[in-house]
Amino acid sequence: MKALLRDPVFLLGLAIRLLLIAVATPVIHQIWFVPFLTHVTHAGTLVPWSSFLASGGPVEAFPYGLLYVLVYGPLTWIGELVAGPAGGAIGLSLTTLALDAGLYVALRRLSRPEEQALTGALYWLSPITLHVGYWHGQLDVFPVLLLTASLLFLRINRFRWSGYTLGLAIAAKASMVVALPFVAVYLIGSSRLRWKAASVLLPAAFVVFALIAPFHFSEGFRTMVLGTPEAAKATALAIPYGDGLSLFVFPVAYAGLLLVAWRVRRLGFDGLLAFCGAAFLGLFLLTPASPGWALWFMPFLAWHLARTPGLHAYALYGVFAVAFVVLQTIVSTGATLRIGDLALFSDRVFLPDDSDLASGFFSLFVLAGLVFLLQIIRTRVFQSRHYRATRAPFTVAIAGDSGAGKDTLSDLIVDMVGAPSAVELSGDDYHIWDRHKPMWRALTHLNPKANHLDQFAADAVALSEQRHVRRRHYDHSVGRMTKPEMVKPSDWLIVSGLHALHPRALIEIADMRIFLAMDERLRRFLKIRRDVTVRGHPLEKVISSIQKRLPDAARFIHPQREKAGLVLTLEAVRPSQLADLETDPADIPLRLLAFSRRAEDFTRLGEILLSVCGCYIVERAGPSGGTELVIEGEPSAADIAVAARHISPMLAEYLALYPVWRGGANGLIQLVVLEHLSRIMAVRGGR
Amino acid sequence: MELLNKDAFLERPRCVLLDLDDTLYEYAPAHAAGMSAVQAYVTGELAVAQADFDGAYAVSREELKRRLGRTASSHSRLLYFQRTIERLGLASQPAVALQMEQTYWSAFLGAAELFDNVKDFLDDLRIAGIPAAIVTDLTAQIQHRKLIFFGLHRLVEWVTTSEELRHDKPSPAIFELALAKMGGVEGVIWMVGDNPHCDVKGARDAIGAKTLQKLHGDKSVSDAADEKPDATFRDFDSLRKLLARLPG
Repeated sequence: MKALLRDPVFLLGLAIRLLLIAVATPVIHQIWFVPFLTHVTHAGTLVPWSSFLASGGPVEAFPYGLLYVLVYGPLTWIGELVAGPAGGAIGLSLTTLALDAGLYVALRRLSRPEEQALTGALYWLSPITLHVGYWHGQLDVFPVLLLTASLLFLRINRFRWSGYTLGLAIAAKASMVVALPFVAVYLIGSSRLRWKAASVLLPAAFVVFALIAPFHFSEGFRTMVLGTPEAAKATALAIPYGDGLSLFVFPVAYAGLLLVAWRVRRLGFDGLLAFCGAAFLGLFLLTPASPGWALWFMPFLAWHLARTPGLHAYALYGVFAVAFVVLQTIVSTGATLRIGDLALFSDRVFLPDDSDLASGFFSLFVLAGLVFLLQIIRTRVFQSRHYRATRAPFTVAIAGDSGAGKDTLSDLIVDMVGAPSAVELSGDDYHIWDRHKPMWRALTHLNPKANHLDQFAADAVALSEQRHVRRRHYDHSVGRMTKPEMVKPSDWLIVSGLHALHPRALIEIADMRIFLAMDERLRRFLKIRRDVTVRGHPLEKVISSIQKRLPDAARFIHPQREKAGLVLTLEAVRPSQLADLETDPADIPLRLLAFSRRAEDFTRLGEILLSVCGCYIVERAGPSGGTELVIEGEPSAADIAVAARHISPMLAEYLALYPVWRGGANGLIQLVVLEHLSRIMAVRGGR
Repeated sequence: MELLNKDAFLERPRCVLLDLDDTLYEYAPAHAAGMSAVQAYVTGELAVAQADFDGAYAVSREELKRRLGRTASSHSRLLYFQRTIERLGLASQPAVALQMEQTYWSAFLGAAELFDNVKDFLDDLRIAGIPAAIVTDLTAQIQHRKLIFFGLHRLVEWVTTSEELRHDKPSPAIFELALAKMGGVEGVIWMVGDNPHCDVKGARDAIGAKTLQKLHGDKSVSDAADEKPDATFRDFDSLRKLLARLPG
């Protein structure tokens, strides 16, 4: 609140509003809203619609439900009590002002930090908002505030609250339902949010039902609120097709916009705002809209403009706003202006009834508005980083020797991006023979000839192109392949295996290529310990098996390292610990070596690991111009979570709603992968 | 911004000393997040009731402050937590104390946010060729971590912590050491800090600095005449504007 009172833009807008409230009483306040609201107290009922009509009140006086009465009533009643109808009008306008200030705050918070001031100013000082709220005197700021709050809750993952406020917005003004399908697409179209769709939509439906249904018994409510002539405006603009047929322009355009949203599917939050803004703007431009409807698109337009630098956009906005105000001054009611004893009535007084002039400004306004509409969809949706980054599944290829931790890394990535958003393809499922077949005496699994690598690559390519595949699964418990099963594509494709960076096709489709190169002493220790201590195999046989695979590892596995953008190596901090097979692996401190072929990759990551996680960091030049980061430390999962938030806040929209972060070396691996991912995403989506 | 002593601002400073905690970022929410994380750790992992922990922590902190006086280690969270564990009857438990310390600082940094325009102000100083130096109490390790976390290590040229000396601010030695590191500074020196006693009076008495007090929340100017700053400000943007209009 204190910050608001130190905000010069807010204070300027506030002063203009207070001045308008002091000197101008909107006509519709005088003839509609104040008489209706004061009728509530005089009639002593919260279901006043029927009695208001019975008392001879105009049917269009208050096309709003109980929420409006409860919100706009109190200050109007107090005002009327103090100073009669004029006081009531001031009370009504002060309520609008309070809600307007709330919308200013909410809208700023909806924007990026660096755009908040401009977004706020474009809304708060706009001639359109000032005209609609304080000269023409419409009350639309209330549902728009609720809708904006709902979107804010949605962005911070408060889904139920978002649903409740969305329901309140629709219950307050049914036209807010225009945003609902886009909210639904935003949720259902995203694999990370889909499971939360019901948490938003059901509470919204519940609130709408609870606040509308009980009033159905009131005939006055049905006439004034549900039967408002405003609803018919949606189909008022129609193109005659002959034979008594007409094409309803707005419904067709709206459905088209919805179809585009559905095709885009993964809207992202900015996409949601863009489609909502475009829909409300379209509604205004393609219908004989009431002036108050301008408030429905204003927050979205301000948000869009604040992100669109350049004089031309602001010049167009100026034309748009001036055309709006002039047009509305000509065609809509205004306010009674009181300066001392002088009362000026503005209702179509300043300009004569000149239809050509009005149509000229109307055409100018529609033209500018259509430019904005197209611009919003083009720049905020189709040119957005989110759109470009999410057109195809993000493919991660993980190669490495047996026991290097490929499955663990694959699982760690799934922890980050969320199981519903990921599909894993394992090279193990493409071994040619079941475990007990005689050919394994001749070939090791490490030999590409022992694997259906062509099929492995073909399936990965198909999934990366969002096609279904049928694949067998290698059941480790019995050593046999299962019957083929259907695998659906998802937002993330994680391909892991001994040869994940061997086929050219796999290398080419992989957005991120990782090679796992566990220190050989540590790999041997873990493998021997598992096979001898846990599985009870003879030590000599285990060692012989390891030895037998070494030549193939050197020939077929290790060369894949050169294809990787990121090479991760785990090694024991004290290798002497590995001599004793009885040592619990949990007691062996590990060191992570992360090698990136890009020379500057690790600076910020190193700083975050150092400062947040308290890790020891050494950054050094690696082979072939790359950089190697040596990380030692035992961060907790909470440390990793804090660090992850700071590596790239931009990535949050691509990760799971609630990513699972791990402690220790696994958490460090998650951070390194995340940092690498942020750089690839920046390139893929455009900076 | 309020210039209480206009004569102090007739020319640009030759160097700017800056306090860190509660001057460049707001300390309270970060500390609250840190303590909350430690409380969750203690009640979850050590099965200690929160009231017991809170009581033992408060007493331990007071005990260490009393025992160590105004020194860097009197602020050490590691020592606070170690003593807290000891008071809870669990002996010293170095691993637990370190874990609590790391938990505290990790959550602390996670919630800490630089005030608006701090980096822009420091960048203005860099472009104007005016060296910026951090002069701060507390141990060097965590203060360095904070500077790296905020990315300030690229914008300030010198760092002096009270761990390098015997005493915290307002001891003159820390201000003198900060200037000595720069090879001595002739001319106007600014000290930017939040604390009337340590930063304002301390820097003025020690090195004759012109003092600019950062205000936010309920912080206010001291009633004591010798603790009144030459200027107060709430937003670093106003410092930028002040710097821009002073002749070089």
